[in-house]
Amino acid sequence: MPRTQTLLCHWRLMIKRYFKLWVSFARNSLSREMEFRTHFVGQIFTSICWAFVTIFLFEILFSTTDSIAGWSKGQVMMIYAIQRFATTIFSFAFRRNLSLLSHIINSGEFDYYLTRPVNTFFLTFTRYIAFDRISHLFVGLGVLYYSTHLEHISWTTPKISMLITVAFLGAMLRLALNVLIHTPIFWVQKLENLDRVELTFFTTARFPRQAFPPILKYLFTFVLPIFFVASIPAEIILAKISWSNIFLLFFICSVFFIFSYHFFSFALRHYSSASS
Amino acid sequence: MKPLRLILHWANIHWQLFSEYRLGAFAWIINGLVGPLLMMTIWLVVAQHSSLAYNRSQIITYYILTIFVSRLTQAWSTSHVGRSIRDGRFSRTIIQPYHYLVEELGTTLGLKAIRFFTLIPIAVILYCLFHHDFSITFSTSKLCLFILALLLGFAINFYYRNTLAMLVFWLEEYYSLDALSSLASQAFSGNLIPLALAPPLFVSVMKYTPFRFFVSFPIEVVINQTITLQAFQGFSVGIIYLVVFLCVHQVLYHHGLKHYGAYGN
Repeated sequence: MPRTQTLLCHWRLMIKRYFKLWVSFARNSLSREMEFRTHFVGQIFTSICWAFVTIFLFEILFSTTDSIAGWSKGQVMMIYAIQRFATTIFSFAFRRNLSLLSHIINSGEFDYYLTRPVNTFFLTFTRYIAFDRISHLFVGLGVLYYSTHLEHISWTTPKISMLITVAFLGAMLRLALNVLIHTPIFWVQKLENLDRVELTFFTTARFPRQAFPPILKYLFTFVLPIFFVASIPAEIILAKISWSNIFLLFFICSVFFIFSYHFFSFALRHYSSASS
Repeated sequence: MKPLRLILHWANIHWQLFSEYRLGAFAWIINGLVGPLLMMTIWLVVAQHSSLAYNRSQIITYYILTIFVSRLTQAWSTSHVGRSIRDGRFSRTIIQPYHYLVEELGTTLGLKAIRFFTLIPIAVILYCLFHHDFSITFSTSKLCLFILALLLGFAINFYYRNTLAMLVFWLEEYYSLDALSSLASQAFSGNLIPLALAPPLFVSVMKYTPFRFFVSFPIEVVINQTITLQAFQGFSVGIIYLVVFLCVHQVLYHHGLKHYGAYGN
């Protein structure tokens, strides 16, 4: 018992320490963003406009048909809303760090990340917080409202909890996949357009998986599990598949996250400083 | 001849610079393929259950052409020039004994040359997947018009992006400008929604925006069975846009230089 208590105490202290560290990162990031208010407002405006373009695309698609692969407009909007929620968490907490990874490795700044008394994975992927990405949350809420209105969904506490859980798991899965995509930078040094690759692949997440041919369905479910970010969670919430699939989502997310963590740790051993 | 030599010189520099990091080409191949193929898949699913203006073969032909046309008319000046104005590197450019557009055109052509080679594996993949469905008939006149439409599309895109870049002299912000211009381009160029499949109100707006010339117009020239009056009207509108952007760019550049504070370095 005492050993277990010591371990629990140790974990509690560690979580408290890392949380305090993350709060200081957030405070620092917010002050930096407020220094460049035009950029901040521009980013919010741009992300809202992108959302309107996507919704407009859906409206045009559904003006020619009642359903896409058996999914009605409201149901497809649900997929998009979940994708927005997952994107909010991912973009807010992690995305900027992934974009900067190539730069900090090439400039030698990564040396400072290695010398800090903090887990390098945590420091690398949570150092910068993007407050302008909060706009995705409001877009997601708007689309969710639209979907609810079209499908006459009644939201219960378990359903809302499930929505929050799948959004969080979707964000962690997206982080894991991005870490796997970006980690080769340690060997290749310059791969700045990987952001666009990740974004390009994740545009598939806004459509139902049944719309894709079998080979792509297999690829984006088991090899690059993009459909687990929004399409499969939407099926769970809309009761198209059993709610117990949330455990499968949790399992896939955990496997990829653990694998991405170990792959990143393996890549660190091959890091050679660019000189700071 | 001197501007041409300078353009080739800068193109060569950027060709060599980007050739150092060849794995980046893999990312360009993915970026070039996935978006259009995704939209093609969705429109094919929609076409299965409703009657559209394009049949299956035309949808596949349209989106395959989108991959090549958008790559050939692309320009990146808003971020290149905007960033150099913002961080002060533009100071080194304006003291050169030639217009900055010479260097920018050389840079753009160098990038295009690299990206052009990424079209080769894309063409091979697409041929293997879709050669049964790809339907296009080229005549000499259609081919000439297609090349002219591509050149016009690139010229409009280049001057449009450079005109936007000039706003950085006052706004001191290029990232959102670039993002918004890419957004408008995606929405109205025909990348997402072919003109033939769009609702009438959207078509009437899209027909008179410059973005149509980046993707949709060159493809319409090729896909239409005959060369129609609409094609010549399209060229006229395109030339008007090119002249407008040229003039606006020169005015903004002239006034922007007076306002330029040479930040950063």
